[in-house]
Amino acid sequence: MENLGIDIKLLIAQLINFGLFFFIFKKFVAGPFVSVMQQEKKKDADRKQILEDVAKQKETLALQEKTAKDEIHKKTEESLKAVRHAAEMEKVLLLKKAQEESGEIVKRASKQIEEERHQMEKQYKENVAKVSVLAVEHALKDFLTEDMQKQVNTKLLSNLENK
Amino acid sequence: MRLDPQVKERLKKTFNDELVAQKELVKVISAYHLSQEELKKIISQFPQYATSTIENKVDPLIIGGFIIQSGSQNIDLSLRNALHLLKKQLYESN
Repeated sequence: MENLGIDIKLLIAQLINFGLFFFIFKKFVAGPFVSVMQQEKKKDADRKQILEDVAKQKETLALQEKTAKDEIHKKTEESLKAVRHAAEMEKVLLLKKAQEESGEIVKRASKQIEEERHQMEKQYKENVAKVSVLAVEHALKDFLTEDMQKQVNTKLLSNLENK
Repeated sequence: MRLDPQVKERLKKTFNDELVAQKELVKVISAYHLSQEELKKIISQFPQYATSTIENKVDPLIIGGFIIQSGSQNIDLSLRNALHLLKKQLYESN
């Protein structure tokens, strides 16, 4: 060993020195440094997780908002549809009622017109009959001679005899 | 009001006599004056008046034919009545 230029004592001392240095370095420098690094790494991971959670919550909220909006829109549409339907039904009912009422009015008016027409017709016929009979009466009074009246009596008596 | 029975009896008799006289008198109303023969022919158709007193009365308004009146009975065979019946029939035919 000595021929190679290696001093055993010095080598051992250097090994011991290196071991001491390694132990002290590991114990007081590398350990805390690694611990700090790990803590920072963990904090980074936590922040990232929080950001991801926030993003997820945002997404969830946006989705919920959209769903709520859709639901409101749907409900509004349904309400409008129901109101329109009710209005339409009311309109139909009102129309039907109006038609019925107008039909009734027309029916009553027709009946009244018919009655008035019938009454006028009756009155007209009565007047015609009255005037006709009056005309015949006057004509007979003016033109019936005594001979004709005798003939009437004879005819009457002959009718009575036949009965 | 109470009536004396005698007065009541006399009134009754008077009314009865009046009624009998009315019943016995038969009026034949015609548009012209009827001859005795015509009156006989007319009355011969109504035997119930054979014993009654017949009186002829002229009323031109009946136009023709004759009416026999006895008391409350009235047999109207005049042209005026015929026209009246015709008018009634025309009214009723409406």
